[in-house]
Formats: sequence, structure tokens, C-alpha cells
Amino acid sequence: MARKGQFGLDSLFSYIVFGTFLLFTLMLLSISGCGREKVERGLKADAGIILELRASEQLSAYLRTEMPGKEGLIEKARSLYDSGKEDLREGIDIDDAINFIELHPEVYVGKTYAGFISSLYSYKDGSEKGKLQDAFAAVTRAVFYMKVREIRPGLGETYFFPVIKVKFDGGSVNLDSATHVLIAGEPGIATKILPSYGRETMTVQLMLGKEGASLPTP
Amino acid sequence: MKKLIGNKRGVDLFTLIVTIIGISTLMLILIGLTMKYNLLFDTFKPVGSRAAFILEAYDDADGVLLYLDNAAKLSMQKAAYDLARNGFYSSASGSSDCGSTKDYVLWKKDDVKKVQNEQRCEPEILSCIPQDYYSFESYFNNELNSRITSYNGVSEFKLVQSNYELQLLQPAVTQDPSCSVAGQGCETRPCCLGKGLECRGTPGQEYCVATKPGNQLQLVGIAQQPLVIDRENLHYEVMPSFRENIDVDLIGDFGKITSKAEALIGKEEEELKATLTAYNDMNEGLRWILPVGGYKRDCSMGNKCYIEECTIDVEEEQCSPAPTPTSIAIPTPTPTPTATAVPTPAEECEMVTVQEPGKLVQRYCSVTANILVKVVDDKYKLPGDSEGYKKFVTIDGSGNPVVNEYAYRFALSWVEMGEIECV
Repeated sequence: MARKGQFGLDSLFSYIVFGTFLLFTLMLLSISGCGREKVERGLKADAGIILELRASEQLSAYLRTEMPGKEGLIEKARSLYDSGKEDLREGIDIDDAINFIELHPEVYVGKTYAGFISSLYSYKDGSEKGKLQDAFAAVTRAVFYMKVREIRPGLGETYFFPVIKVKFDGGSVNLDSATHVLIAGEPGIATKILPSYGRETMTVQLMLGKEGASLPTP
Repeated sequence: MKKLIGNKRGVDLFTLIVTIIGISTLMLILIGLTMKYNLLFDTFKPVGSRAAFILEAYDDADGVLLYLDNAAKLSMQKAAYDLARNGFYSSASGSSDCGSTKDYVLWKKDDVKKVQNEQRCEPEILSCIPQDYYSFESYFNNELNSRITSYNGVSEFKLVQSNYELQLLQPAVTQDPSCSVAGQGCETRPCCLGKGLECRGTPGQEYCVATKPGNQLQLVGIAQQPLVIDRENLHYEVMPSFRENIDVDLIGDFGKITSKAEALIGKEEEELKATLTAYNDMNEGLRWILPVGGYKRDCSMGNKCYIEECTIDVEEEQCSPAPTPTSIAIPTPTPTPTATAVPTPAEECEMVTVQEPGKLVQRYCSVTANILVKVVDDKYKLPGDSEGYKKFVTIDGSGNPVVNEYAYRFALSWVEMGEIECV
């Protein structure tokens, strides 16, 4: 036993035992994950997967949408173009687009948006393939456009339409609903395979951003 | 032990031993736990990732089903187009017992045959008007299987070929958003009267009922084998059945066309055209057309039916040399080159009737009428057209699009018996 005021051997052992248990406590806490990168990651949700799933569901919904009739389609495409909004006009020759819509009701009458895309396949190598991009972009914007207010402060009223790309297998023509994409951050990308009238397949891709414009509205 | 505990120094030694044993034990536990948890860390995934993993599998299956729905719809449209083009037969030639003309399957073809124990021929009628539209299924299966092959070539998920039990239906009503549908009230919106719906019930409790079949074709494909999505720790199966509608009244058109076709047989061209006009005036959504050059009447010399042998009286000119007088033959002197030739007596000719073997035949004319029945649909009307017809786009051999009018085609062939004669 140490004398009063002396640092005895038993005190030393007590401190060692205390220190050891403290060490073990910290190590055990460490094992259970506090401060470890792997566990930190485990505590986060993977927003990328969720965004891709949302994009996939959204694309399925677009592809299952019934196409409007000729008059409705032409009127909508023309009025969007004439509205003067650059978002809706960009990259489209509206006269070529409307000419194609007028002359080829067989590509959209009684069809879904997927059926419309499948029908376009027949024209990918024909004499009217130059009008295909205009018709696709104009129809996609006319069917799915959505007015979004104040998406970004100061920009005022703007329009949203989905960024959809079509790639024909074995063909040189690809179609885009948008000539340039303004999606902030990493987009959610969904791809679906569709049949064509020519029995080959084609792929349709939707890029969905996290920003408000792409959020579904009631 | 007592010494150790009792001794002041012994207490120190006891503490030391307990400490060493304690530390060693804890070290072993620590090593064990570390090894165990390191394994656990490696399997750590973001929160919700397992749920997302399952949702991904559902979404992948949905993608396959989306392809299948569209492939089934396209295959239905192509099958309906091909079936109509081939007059409800399974191929352009060979499937009808009556054969076919260049582009039209024959629904009737007469052969001419001698009547037993009688000296005449009569048409032997071969009617091939189709009895059903079930060839649709073979066209559909061919189309769908080829699209499934295309899909399996590019996708990690595989659809099974020839996997469907098919049911061809005619849905009761069409879904037209401008009017109420069956079972719903008709107070605010009218029923689709022209499409087989009528308003029934008491005021305030009115509802639309289907009174006649709609004008769409519905195909239900019941899958026999599932679509399988296999991943690590996940096995998901879904039966890829489908129910698809196309805007073609195949069943209704079949009934309308086959019931009227027989009445066209045996008519002169103008009379036939008048009958087609009368059909068109019925406003059944069909446009009956006799194409240019579609009515052919062949009465050539080759159209003869052999009956039996016969004898035919033939006027023949028979000539005989003039009779020479009976006289003593006087040797004629050898004519000298300078001598003049003595003229031979002229032959005597006369017309006589002789009987020669011939063939008793009956002449006939063969008439063929090609009929085209287009489907009226003003949604397909082009600028400047007075009427629109349902269309279907295909691709030709060089990859160019071909816009075809959706039309039922068939041909009728009959004979008109003529005179009997021995030739």
C-alpha cells in the first residue's frame, strides 16, 4: 500500500486497467462503425438508383401515352412554335415537321408514343429522313410539354419537355427531342428497348434531372 | 493464495496477474470481433439499396413487358394487314383450294365438267369463301416470334418463343373519351350511340350499355412460361401475358365481306359495279372497289369442254379425171422436140359432203373479278382527299418505307356456258 501522497504500484495498475478498458471501449465503438467511411456510406441513401428508377417509370409512362389526332397535334406543335419561347423552337424546322405530320398519319393515328417511335423506323432510310428529326422533336414537345413557372429565380416562366433520344439499331439516324440538354448535375438515365416495324429493335433513352422542372406535377 | 492476498505485496501481484489475464482476454475478443466486423463491413451497402435492388428487378421486368406489349401490338397490326391482303387465308397462294390470281386469293373458282349420261357440260363450282379468320393467329405468331428473336439478341432478359395461348376477341365497346362508356352514367356525357352504346336506366341512375360489338380487335395472349429475372440473392418470375387492342374491326369486317361476296358472282361488269356502289351506300365503313382492269372475261377458243366424239359433215371438192374412150392403143410416136404437146383432158370436180370424225364440245367464257375492300377512316385523310382510308406502313426490300392502304382483297372466278358444237 502506498503511503499517503505516494504513487503506489496498485494505483499504477488501476490506471492501466482503466486505460485498457477505455481503449477497448473506443475500439469497440470503432468496430460498430462510428467514423468509418464504409459505415458512413451505409448510412446514406443512393439517390442515383432512385433517380434512375424514377426516370425509368417516367419513360414507361411517356411511352404508354396515347397519341393525339392529326388536328390536335398540328395545332399544338404550331402554337408552341409560334409562342416564341426559344426552349420550344430550338432546333426545329416547324414547316418540315408539320408537313411530315400531315402526310403520314399512319405513324401516330391510333398509336401510343411508343408506337409512334416504332413507326418512324420505317422512314429512317427513306427520302424523308431529313424531316424525321424535326417531326420527332416537334411531336415530343407538343405531346409532353409542360409550363413550369420560376424554375430558377429570375428566369421567369419557362417550358419543360422531356429529353428523349431514339437510336435505331443498324441505322445512321438518331433522334433527339432536345438539341442541347440543360440538366444540372448527374441526370437519371433510363433506357428501354422497343420493337420496330422492320423487326429490328431500337432504344429509347430518357434523361431526367433532379431539378424541379423534371418533377412530376399533379 | 492466502499469502498472496494477505500479503501487501501479494495484493499487488494479484492485481498484476488479473490485469494481464484481463488484457489478454480482451485482446483476443477484440481480434475476433475485428475479423467478424470487417467481413460485415464489406457487405455494407447504402441504406435502401436492397429495396432499390428489388424495385430494379420489377422495373427490368416492366421494361420487358413494355417491349412485349408494343411487339404484340405491331405484330397484330401486321398480321391483320397480311390477313386482309390475303383474303383471310394464311398465305397469298396455296392456302385456298381455289388458288389465286396474281395478287388476289380466289374465293370461288368454277371448273367445267361433262354431265354424266348427258350431252352437255356444266360448271363444277368450287367455293372457297373463308369460314373463319383464325389464320390471324399463324400470322401473329410468326411476327411476334421474329420480334422476340430480335429482342433476345440485344437484351439480358430472354422472352420465350411460341409461349402464348391466344384468344381473339371483339371488345364490346370502344373507349372514346368524348362519350360515356358502358356501365357509366350518361347524364352528363352521351353514350357512344354509333359505336354500340345505348343509354338505359331511370333518370338520375342512367348508364350506358353495350348493344353491339365495338370496332376494335382485341388479342389476349396467355403466357405458358414465365419471364425469369435471376440475380444474386434474387429470383423474380412474372408471367408475360398481354391484352392488346388495335383499331381494326377484323371480326366485324369478316362477317360483312364474306356474307356479301357470293352475291357478286355471275354479274356483268356494270351490274357488278352497281352492286358494289350499293354496298358502299350502306355506310358500313367499307369501300368496295373493282380495280381498273379487275374484271376479265375470257371467251377464247381454248375454253371448250369436251363431251364426246361426233361426226361432222364437211363439204369437200372432189375431182376426178375425165373418162378416156375405149380404143385400141396406138403407139404414139415419140414426140420430136419440135412437136406441139397434146393437151390432157380437164378434171371434173364437184362438191360432196363427207363425214369426218370430230369432237362434241361446249364453249364457255371464264370471268374473273378482283375485289378490293378498303376500310374508311378519316383520321388517315390526306390534304386534298375526299375520304381517308386506314393505312399501314411497311418497308420494301431496299429499306424504303411503303405506305399501304389496309384493304381486304379477294377474287371471284366463274364461267358462263355457251353453245354445244361438234368441231
